[in-house]
Amino acid sequence: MAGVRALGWLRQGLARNASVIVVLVLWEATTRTGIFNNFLLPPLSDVLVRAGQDIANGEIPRHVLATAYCALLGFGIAAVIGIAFGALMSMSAVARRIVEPLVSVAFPIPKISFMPIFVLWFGLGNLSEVTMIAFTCVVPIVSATYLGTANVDKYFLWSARNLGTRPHRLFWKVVIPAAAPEIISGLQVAFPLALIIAVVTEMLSGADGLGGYMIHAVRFAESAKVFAGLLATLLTGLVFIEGFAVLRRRLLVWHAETAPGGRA
Amino acid sequence: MALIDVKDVSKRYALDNQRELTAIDKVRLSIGEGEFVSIIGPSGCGKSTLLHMIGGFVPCSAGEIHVRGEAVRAPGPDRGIVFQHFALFPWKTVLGNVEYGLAERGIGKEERRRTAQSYIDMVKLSGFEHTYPSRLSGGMQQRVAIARMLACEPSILLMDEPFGALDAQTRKIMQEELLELWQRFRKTVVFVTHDVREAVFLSQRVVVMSARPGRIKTVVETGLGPNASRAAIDAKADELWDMLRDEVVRSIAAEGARL
Amino acid sequence: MSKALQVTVFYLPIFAALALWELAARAGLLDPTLFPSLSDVLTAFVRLTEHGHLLQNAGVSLFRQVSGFLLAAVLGILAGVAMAESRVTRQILEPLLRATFPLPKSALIPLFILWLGIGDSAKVAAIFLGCLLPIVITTFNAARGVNRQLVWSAWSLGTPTWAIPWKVVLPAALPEVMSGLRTALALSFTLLVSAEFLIGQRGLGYLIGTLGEDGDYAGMFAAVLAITAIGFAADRLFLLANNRVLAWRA
Repeated sequence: MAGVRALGWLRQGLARNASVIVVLVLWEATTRTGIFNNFLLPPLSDVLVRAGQDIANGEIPRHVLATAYCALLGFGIAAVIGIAFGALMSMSAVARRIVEPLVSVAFPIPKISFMPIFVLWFGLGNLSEVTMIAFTCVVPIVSATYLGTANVDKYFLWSARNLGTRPHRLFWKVVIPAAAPEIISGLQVAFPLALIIAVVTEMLSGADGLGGYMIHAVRFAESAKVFAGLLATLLTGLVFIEGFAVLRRRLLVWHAETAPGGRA
Repeated sequence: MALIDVKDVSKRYALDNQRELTAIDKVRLSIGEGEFVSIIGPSGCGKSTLLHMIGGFVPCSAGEIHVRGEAVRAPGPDRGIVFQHFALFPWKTVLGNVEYGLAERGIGKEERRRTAQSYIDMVKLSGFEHTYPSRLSGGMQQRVAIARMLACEPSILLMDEPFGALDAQTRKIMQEELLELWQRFRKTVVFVTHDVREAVFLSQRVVVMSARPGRIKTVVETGLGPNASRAAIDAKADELWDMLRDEVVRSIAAEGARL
Repeated sequence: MSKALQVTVFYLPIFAALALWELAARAGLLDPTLFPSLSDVLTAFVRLTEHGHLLQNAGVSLFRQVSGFLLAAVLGILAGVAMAESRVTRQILEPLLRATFPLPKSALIPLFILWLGIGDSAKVAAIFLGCLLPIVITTFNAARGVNRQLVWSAWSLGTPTWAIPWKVVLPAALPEVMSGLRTALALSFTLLVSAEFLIGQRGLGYLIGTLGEDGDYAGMFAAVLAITAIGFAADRLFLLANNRVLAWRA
């Protein structure tokens, strides 16, 4: 019985991902039969073998952890600072007047261009990497937090006051929960950014991390290793995104979007 | 021969967990030329779905709908439609919207403009030709939608709870104006609404549908002329509401059971 | 208050920060090698512009960014609308999108170095592919979310089925599509700079790198300022175009 259900589940999975499977099959077929230059596009099986080797000897896990560590640390710092300043902006007009133009300018500029300055100041190690990640991630978090806390439906606040909540407790009891979806959306935008920037900074400094792994592979012209790195990065990105989605569902269990029939 | 012939029409939807939902079950209805017919029923009874099938937007799962003897396969300018939330093209001005169907037919610029203008005047929106819908009130937007539909000179007007999104006062005015327009042009109108009194005020025949799966519970002739008194309309509306009441209660209970 | 005055007042804190920078430098609070004063940076900026370095490299960078971004925008919008309106297209493309979506866009750069070497095409390709995915996804979601009754209205007013995506769905989805394009625009600059840092060969990223290596830190800061200003200007220009195109909104 369980076997039949598993088979049905497998069939559904295949149907939904048909085009991906076709691409993978074509990849292996065209490279094995020599249609594509094996250097530029190593066969899928070679890539998997190389990935397997580098996982077994600990190289890929080491780089994944290095990247994840910096990304999470930078993101964490950005989250704390971002939420604090965003909330502050909605409560204090002075804070808003000072921070708003900074955020407005910071949003569209390629913040990665500051990397050489950070390297000048902090050297090539983790400090400049984490600083860059935090710098990049803080912007969408501040913005989303400010929008969420400033636009709390005034009827929520009036109802709470009406039901006896003291004004100074309103912030933690009403504003933060009401703004939570918006804040978490901001965090959700920033999270993948952390990984993107982590990978780039590692590529620039050649340091430990998935970026460094791939850049070294290119420099030494080991194409299977480049693809193995891509695969590892893809999977790390997947874990990040899925992990965050699960967290979001947990935190927002009360929200309409997680209700049956909702979009989550 | 009736203008619109709904022959044993059913609509079923497949749900993702292998179950099936029957929205409409074997509905049979005939509507003659020049009639104003309303369809009322509780939420979810499928009255809008039925209208959409007559319009050709949604295919029937079983049965057929014939208009002038021919089966309905696709939407067309002979069956104009107006929706509850207006569905105006927000990137076009009032004039652009009203002209739209004429442009699709390939009518020349000058003639288009003249025709569109006459309909804009008819729905009392003169002066707003170059305004975008986002700047208009709900009532005004619905007038644009009506003008846009009429400009193509359809023989059948399908109206899907057209005044549902308007406030009560605007709604009353729109009902009166719609009745005036109908008395002028005598088109065939199929009007879906929640509002029993509105149905009685506007139409000669009212179709009452049951809760899901939607079937025709009864068809009532209002027997009221254009100058019917308020008391007469209210009495008829009460009578119809009594017929509708259990269906509404049933549908609310079913909604709760689904959660 | 006139618009120009309003804008100046809004950005006052930025001017204040810049003034603070200069004052701190003058007061000797900043190490001049690590943190040149604002006036030093501006002098370097003028110097680099006079010698043509800034303009030449900026031109090259802009050419790459515009090519990559425009290509991604056109193809991305086409693909997104096609996916929303055609079940077959969606069934083919959606799994591919879902599979490649978690990849951090910057990770593609080494791949393009491998395939295309260190010239312009590697950078344009990285920008193109990096921006393509977000644009397809936002366009697809926007097109999917278009009110069906708009489509039905157009249909009943005589619009042929093949014309509906371009006459109705795209205009209706445009506000959301433009918002997605704006985000992708910022991403394109990030990818441009990243690629130019990695693959030296003209461009502002390359210039920043060489100035740093030569020890001309004031010049390096100036070049960073330049690319920052360009990115900012591009965003504001986009906003202007956006408001023009979407003038019909509330």
